[in-house]
Amino acid sequence: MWTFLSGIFLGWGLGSNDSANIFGTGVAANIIKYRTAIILISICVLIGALLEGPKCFATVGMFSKLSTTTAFGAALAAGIIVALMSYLSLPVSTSQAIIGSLLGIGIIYGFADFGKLYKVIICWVLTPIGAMVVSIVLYKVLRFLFERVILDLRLRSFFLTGGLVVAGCYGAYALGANNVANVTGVYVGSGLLNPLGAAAIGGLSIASGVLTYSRKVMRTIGMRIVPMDAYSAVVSTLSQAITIHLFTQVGVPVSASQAIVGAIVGVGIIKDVKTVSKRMLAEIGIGWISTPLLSGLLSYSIMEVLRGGA
Amino acid sequence: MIWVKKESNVIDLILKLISKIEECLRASMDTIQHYLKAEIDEAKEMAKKTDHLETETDEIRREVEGLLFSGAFLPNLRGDVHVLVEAMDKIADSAEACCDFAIGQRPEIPDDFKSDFLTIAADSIYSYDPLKEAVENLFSEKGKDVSIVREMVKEVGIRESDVDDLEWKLTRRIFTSALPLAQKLHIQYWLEKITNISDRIEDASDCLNSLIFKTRI
Repeated sequence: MWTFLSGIFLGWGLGSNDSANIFGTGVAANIIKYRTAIILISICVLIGALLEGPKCFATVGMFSKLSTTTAFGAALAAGIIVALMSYLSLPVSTSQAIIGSLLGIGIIYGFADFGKLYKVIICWVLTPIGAMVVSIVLYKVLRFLFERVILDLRLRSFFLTGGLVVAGCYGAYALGANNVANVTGVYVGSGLLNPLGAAAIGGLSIASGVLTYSRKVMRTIGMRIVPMDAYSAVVSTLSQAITIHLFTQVGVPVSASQAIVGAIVGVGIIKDVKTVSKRMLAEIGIGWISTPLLSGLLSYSIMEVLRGGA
Repeated sequence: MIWVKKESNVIDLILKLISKIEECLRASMDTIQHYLKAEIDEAKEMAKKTDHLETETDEIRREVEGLLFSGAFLPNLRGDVHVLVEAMDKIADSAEACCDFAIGQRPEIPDDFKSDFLTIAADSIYSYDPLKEAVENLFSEKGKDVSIVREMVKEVGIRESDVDDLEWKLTRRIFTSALPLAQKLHIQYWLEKITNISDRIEDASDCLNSLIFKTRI
């Protein structure tokens, strides 16, 4: 049972951080109350994890043959890196953290399969790019609807508020479906849990992070995005959700944080305004290398310690 | 529409506000006309009506503010709606100030200036008409026609500029006349109060312009 603790810790960290990508804008702009937002996210994350979460378990498990101890070490290393990067306010991807961890452990035991890594790396790179493309298309299509059909200001207000809530719920669903594999995929790989049990434990641990420790991050991230108008916020949230949901269908866990940044860049391209700083983009680029590398090193170190103690 | 009840209430109140301001401006025009005809009792009566209508516009503004702060409209639009309502309320304030000045201080307008005062007052006050049309269009249930709103906002600007021209010419006539300096200053101050109405109308149209910009996608 203790082996699950590291996964629950990782899920908690994921929930506390990534909920900001979903409803940060709405909460910071007072469109939706924080309490309502976290309840909606928790429910939708759990539904997403249970219904579609198992689709990504195979990808997480394919890099290493896991035992109880290695599953524990991988989730612990990823959890620590996620917590550390969050503490330093750096955008962090749990997907990159857990894959890095698994590869680190795989190196020790000599079964790391770098050959399978290309598919995942392509998906990581395509996440912000894909979200950007989706947001550009969505912005244009929905703008046509809003400018030609919904002319009454009252209805516009209603549709934008409702749109933000619906997009947020879909985003939470997609997050649960895509990212639950990062949290408990290692336990499926090690045979400790069946996919449904892993989805349930993972979904609940993500929800626990959302419910207990997401306020600060949600405010911070929300404030970063809040200069956007409501329409752009709806489009970027929806684009992020569609993007990570698409990657769920190919079975690869990706970063929700990087998807939202890509979506915001897309909105900025359409509106010809600067929505994201070069620094934020550089941080994403650095994150692609540093997060898996640090997780790999840490999991390697943890396993060395555990092996030495054994 | 139950799901947009707060927004509907705000819009109903704004539409009520623009009608009330129009009434207030017409009462102030009547005040000026009666005053220039030396019909002081009638002018006082109309000035009272102006005061009363201005108080009503204040009440409507406060009601709108209450609804806005309780969450009507999206936050990024809420502030601009509030600013617009405040700016519109100031139009009624300026009409009231103009009447109060006439009744309270009784500026003595020489006969050969009276028709100019009347023309400027009418032009200043009726620059409200395009603003009213623009606001009604923006908040129409059928949906806004931005081109009409923009055209009307532009019209307000043209009318305000015309009033400024007339004001400048009359000010020059006043100060080149043989009137005592105190009287010159006194009637010029009333002229300023009259033209202040079109200035406030233009301010409100600027707020409207900003609101149109915010509602654009």
